[in-house]
Amino acid sequence: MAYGLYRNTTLGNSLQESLDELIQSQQITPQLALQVLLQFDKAINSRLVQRVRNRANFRGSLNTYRFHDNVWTFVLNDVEFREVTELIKVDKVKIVACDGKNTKKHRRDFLKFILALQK
Amino acid sequence: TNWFPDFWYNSLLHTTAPQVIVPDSKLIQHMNASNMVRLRIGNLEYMLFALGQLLQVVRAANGAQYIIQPQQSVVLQQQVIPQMQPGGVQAPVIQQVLAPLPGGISPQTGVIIQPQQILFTGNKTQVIPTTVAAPTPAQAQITATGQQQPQAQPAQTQAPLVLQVDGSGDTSSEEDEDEEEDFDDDDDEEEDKEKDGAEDGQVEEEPLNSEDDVSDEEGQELFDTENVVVCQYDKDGIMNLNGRDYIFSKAIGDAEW
Repeated sequence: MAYGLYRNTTLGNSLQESLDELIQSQQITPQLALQVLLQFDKAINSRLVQRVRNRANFRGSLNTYRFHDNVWTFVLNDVEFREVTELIKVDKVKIVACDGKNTKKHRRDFLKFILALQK
Repeated sequence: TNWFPDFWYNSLLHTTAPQVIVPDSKLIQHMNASNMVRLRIGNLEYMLFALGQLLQVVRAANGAQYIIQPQQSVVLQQQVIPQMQPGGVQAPVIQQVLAPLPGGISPQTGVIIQPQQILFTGNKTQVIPTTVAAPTPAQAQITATGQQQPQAQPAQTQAPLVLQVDGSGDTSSEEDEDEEEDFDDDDDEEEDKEKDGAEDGQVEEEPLNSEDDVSDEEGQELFDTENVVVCQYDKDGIMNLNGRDYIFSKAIGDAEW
């Protein structure tokens, strides 16, 4: 069960907009659009793991931090991102981070919980 | 027509072991047809009296009827009906329950108390307090216990039923009768009251505490001009910075708060 975390990226947003257009013109059903998005989630999660190898560094000042439902949200100011090839400076950046480890465990635990409820 | 809400008739009052069995003939002559209703629930017959006493009727093989008085009388209270006749009952056993109410009852007194919904679940008795909106401002609560004669038996072995005068039964509120959601209503009302109290407090204190807020909202106008990094911790991620997408398998940074 992959996170829908990456839907809010350029790629993900473009996909969602396209799907919305198709729904509007009634060329696909909302159900199908949802399935497409789920497939997108799976694909991007697995590709990131398999194909990406570079590292990045950043430095800045922390404006806010939040941890809720196992999701970290940070807002940083005056940040410098450093990749091997280039340097990127931004005034404000929001970082959203989901729990990367134990996603399978979460699903298993969730199923156990549901089963226990039904007893 | 039924005096009481239908669900009463559908409910089964089941009490603990009977204490006294009184032959039918003694009772019946003192019973007044206008203040007694016969119920049949399943295989069991009951006689429900105006003051809420519910007696179980048992028929012997020879056709004789026996009235079983439960050990504990669960008092059901109801609207006073003008034509109810106080007094007139001399049987000592019954008098305990059907004693005339103190001072008589004027027909104008609208007495609404909360009927208790009795649910029969297996062998247990569950008493669920219910509320009925009071049509009259005066809520007099009357418990039908014998007061003119000393109690022949201990009235109740369990804690007396506590009647509620506030909360959902309050006439000042517009709550309708909610039979089984009484507790929820109470909780909601308490919360509302607390909220009101808190708001009042805040209005007074706002000038004082308003300087405490230093931070601006984090999400001020979250346009896409805001650069975003979405990732999983300890794993890979995608960045959108200055309108461009970047990707990483691991990102490490320092930030001081």
